[in-house]
Amino acid sequence: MGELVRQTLRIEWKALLGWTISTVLLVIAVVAFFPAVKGNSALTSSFDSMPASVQAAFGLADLTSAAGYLQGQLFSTLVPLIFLSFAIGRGARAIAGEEERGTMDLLLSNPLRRSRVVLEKGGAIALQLIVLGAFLWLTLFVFGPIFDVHVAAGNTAAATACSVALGLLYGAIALWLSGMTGRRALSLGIASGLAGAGYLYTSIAPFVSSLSDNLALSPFQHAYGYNPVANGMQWGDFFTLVIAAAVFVAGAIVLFDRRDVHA
Amino acid sequence: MNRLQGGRKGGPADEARCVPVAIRTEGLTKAYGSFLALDGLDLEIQAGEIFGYIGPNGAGKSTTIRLLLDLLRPTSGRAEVLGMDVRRQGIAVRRRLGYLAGELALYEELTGRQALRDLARLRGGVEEAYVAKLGERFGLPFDKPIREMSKGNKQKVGLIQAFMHRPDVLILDEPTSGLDPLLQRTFHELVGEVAAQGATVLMSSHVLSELEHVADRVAMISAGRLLAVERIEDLKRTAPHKVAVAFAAPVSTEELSAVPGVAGVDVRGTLARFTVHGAMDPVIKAIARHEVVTLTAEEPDLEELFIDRYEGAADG
Repeated sequence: MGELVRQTLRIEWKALLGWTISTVLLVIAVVAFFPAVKGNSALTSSFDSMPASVQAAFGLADLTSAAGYLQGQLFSTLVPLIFLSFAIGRGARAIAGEEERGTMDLLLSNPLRRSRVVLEKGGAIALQLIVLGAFLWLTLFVFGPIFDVHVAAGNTAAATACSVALGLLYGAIALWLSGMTGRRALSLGIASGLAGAGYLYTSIAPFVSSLSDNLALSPFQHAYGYNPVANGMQWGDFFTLVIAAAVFVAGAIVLFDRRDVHA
Repeated sequence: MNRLQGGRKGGPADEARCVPVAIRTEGLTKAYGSFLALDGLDLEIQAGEIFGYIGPNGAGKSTTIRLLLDLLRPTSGRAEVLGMDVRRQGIAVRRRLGYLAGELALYEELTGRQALRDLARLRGGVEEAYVAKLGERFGLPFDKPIREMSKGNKQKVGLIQAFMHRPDVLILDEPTSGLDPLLQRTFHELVGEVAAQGATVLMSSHVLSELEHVADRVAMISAGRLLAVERIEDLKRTAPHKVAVAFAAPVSTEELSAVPGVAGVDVRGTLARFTVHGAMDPVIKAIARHEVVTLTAEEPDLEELFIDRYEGAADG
């Protein structure tokens, strides 16, 4: 076990480095704006007049507290965007991308089970998400206090872990589609569409009584809906996401194992 | 239909059965909707044999090969490699199998050395000295990124990864594509060596000429159906040879036509051209009665012969 994880990381490390650097810079930029936003009551009060759902969708509620600011500007907006783009892209490529390049034939001519290929590809995505998460947390830990963003490290860790879990789930959905169809663009499109729908639903549903009953169905709600930055780790939500991800990976294994490998 | 090793009882087939079969397919069929990419293939390839698989592009060669690798799943029928079912015992089969894909794709980001090392690791390690030896033999620039390699160099990486773990069975789809003639010879020598050590080689090509100097037998496939399997030796022996003889003095058409096996005699002055079917001996003895200035016999074009002989079967 592990050879394919290593091989995948060796091929993708430069891209991961790029994602990591962008994430770190983006996080620094966001926290650097906190002092300005906190002190600008005109700005924050102008958002008050907007409907609550719009405020929620753009992360504009409670911008004056550090926790509210991070929740609104990072963990309910930019971080899911980064983590999901990364995970969905990798998931869609993991199987279908190898097939489209033609390298799946080469891999599977070795004495490898297809299940192992799926598991190790999934493992490589998980590892890379954890790396991204670790740098996200570390950046907040180092740069937060410099810009007056004082949030307990445990709470930012909780919010990061839930974001990683959200990435795992959507990466697994993309992997599942990739394993089922062998089509990269299709998998990417459908998984992105599902992510977009889930995001909008989670932003809007709390303010629409007919929708809010089913909020637990949205992965985004589990990731940040209960505000882990302010409230700390919610293990139930975290494991809900991780277990759902595992189910999709299992689905990917079953479906990939049943079909022809595309040449 | 195409049962190649002949009858089950009596005759020379009994001897053939004593040789272990390395690759066997039984009614192997692959359909895509109503299109039959492979139609009931029955094939037996003996251990230690170099087996050529020829047919035009899209005839079903790669389909057969990818079915043997368990990359494709058959619509019906089955296949065995070294006595193991390729579906149920795929891992065990592929442990002893070397494969070169028809449309070889490698990880372009890596160098040849890195790519080969990764693949070796997936097999639990191979003899590094042997990899180095193969690389030297083919003249592979090990440390060049694959992205920057020519098609020929990429093909070398593909060949080395197929041979490096000393597999018992080699399945090579269009192995010589992209190789220059000198490297083709190196490759043919290598194939001969591993076969002499007992390995079985199945290699495909769209032209017979690439296989006739290495293969023991060739199968021809067209539109998903096996047309024929022939020993190269038999093909050569029965192939009509075109002969041209320059005599010192004119020899009559009738005299030459009377020689057993001779047909299509064309005499122009002292120069005679004709075709010889079967043994050359009566021809040599007949012309030896005259003074012969020059004698040329063309190597028969097996390809043409093969196609002529079996084209009818393809339509039928």
